[in-house]
Amino acid sequence: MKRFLTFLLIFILSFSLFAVSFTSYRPLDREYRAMGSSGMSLKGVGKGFYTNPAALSNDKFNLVLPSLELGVGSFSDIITIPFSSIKGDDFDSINAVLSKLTGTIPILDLKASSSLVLFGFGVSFDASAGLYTSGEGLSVGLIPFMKVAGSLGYGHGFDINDNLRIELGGVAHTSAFFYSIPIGIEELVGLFSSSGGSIGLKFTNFTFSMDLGTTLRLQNGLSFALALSDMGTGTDSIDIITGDTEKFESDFTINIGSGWERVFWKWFGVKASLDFCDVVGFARDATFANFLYHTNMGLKLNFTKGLGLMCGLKGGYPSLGADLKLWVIDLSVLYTMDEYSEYVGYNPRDTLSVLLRLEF
Amino acid sequence: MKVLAFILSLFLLVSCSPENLWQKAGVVEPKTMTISPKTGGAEEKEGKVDVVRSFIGDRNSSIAFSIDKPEAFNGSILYPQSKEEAEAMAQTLNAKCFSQEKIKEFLSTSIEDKELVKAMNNTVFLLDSGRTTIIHGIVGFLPVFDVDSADEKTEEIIKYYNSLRDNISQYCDDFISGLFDPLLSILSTSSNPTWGEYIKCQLMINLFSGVLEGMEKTVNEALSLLSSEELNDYVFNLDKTADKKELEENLEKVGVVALLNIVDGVVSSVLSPIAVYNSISYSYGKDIGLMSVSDIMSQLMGENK
Repeated sequence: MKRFLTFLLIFILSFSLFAVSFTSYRPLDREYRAMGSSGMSLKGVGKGFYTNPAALSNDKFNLVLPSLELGVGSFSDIITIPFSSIKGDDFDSINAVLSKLTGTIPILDLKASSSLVLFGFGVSFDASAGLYTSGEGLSVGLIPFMKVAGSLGYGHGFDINDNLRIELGGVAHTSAFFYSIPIGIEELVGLFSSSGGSIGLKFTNFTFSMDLGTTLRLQNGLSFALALSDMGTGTDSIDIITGDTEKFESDFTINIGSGWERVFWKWFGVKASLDFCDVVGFARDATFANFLYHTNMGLKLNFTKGLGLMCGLKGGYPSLGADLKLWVIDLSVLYTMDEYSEYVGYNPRDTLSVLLRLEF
Repeated sequence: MKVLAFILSLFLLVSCSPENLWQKAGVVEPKTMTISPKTGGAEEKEGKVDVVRSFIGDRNSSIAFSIDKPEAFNGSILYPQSKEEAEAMAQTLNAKCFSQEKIKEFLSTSIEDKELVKAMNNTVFLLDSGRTTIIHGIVGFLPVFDVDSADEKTEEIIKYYNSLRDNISQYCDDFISGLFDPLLSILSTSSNPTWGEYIKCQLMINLFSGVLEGMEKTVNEALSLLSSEELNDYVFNLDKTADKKELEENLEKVGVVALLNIVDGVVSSVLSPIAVYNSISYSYGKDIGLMSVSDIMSQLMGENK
């Protein structure tokens, strides 16, 4: 208990020392994403870094070294590109597809990460590199990007009695962002050809933020969670084109979640979750439609502990996923959807991700 | 079984195009389609120039507009949109939650805001009255070479270059007519412009804003490669035995290529808004008929060889 209070104090102090943040780089857990961005109260140490810090207390030891993921954003549009035309230097058909992609949205995202959790202490390193669309939906430029992040946290569980367990945790995040000016598809393909070239990534901003979370876990498999994410005051970001400095506000959110998980006959497991995200955002426009848009739900079926099938609804957008675990090798395929507009339904994008990791 | 049915239903509902299932099932209605117009007031006098430029942005371009009929201008004009505003408009026009019929219906709805209608008319009037200025402004970026002081061989090349320059001028004329004529005809025949017409008008403002911005950068870069001294020096230093074809090829390397880069830059700047401009042209039942950059290039090159 004394150790826990010491770390809680350190976290509070570190928060006041580095009270600077903005939308940090948050590579979310694959199970959480496949289950419709829900399941923050379910067990899974992987959720501890970016979803609910209390989950760090779930395992005494967990090492992921490494985790690699390739994601293709706007998948249903990108898949229509006739890639064979690239060989012939005819980019019109590619540009025609890219010009439909409104918004600054990742269309290619290669992620790499590694994490270690030991007796509640957790450290994670994450990196991501890829391409964004350049916004407006009127132009065909692509923006190369790179993000790196580091997280350090601690989670602790208290057994109140045989039927009730409380978990608490906190994680501090730091991330740095690098962007290039928009480039054309011709220029991009040229980088990989004999003519060569380079991408001029420029540092835009550095962030620091913090998450706090708690989970109430019952013996019958029910669980309830509360998490405060991305606490900070905002930060300055440099516009890569104009060089101007822009102030970004923190994406602070309060999320609550509930879940149920149980194993039947030792070979069949069920996980179900119902989360409500961004309580503060919902309170600003408390309508029935907004209630549905803030509600996420998911289901996971585990077979023989090696195969998992997941599905979910994130504010009405479906997600699917499959997990195959063979000893320490974990292979996952996810299909998720996200809204990139101010209004739900205006600019949804789907992403297909393939993830390979070694988990010990 | 219920769980399996739920999963199966989800799989079935996930179609190739991403859509919100609550909206698809009719549980909630999508947010009403809205576009925020951008207008600004101005008190202008006869003969005052740079009106549109001052609204488009503070740039040192040679394109300016003159108000020679102040009675037709009552001081309200459309602003160019920012990147964020243009993005919001593009999202509205391409919103996945609305059917093509719904979008078409929205584009055909008359604008009730009378001030906005006035601003549209003023904008089109100013742009139309500056049509010649726009064309001359674009072509004016291209240097003129003097044929009189040239020798026989150089004269051939300069004539070739000048014919290309005339061609670009003609292209600009056609291009701008292609943009203006549909809108002018709509506004002259309709006292109640629709949101589709507003969008065309707004895109035109953004288009010229983009043209000015893109052109200035490209032209400045290209002109550094294409000064009359450099070109003349190059021509005079050519191998005296070179034939016309060879001369033309070499000229392309130093002159025409740089020239085409200018056109490429200008046209590329124009084509971005045109992507959306064209996408809404269906609501008027006819195609504006703009060419792609590669078509323009091949035509310009082909007609001059």
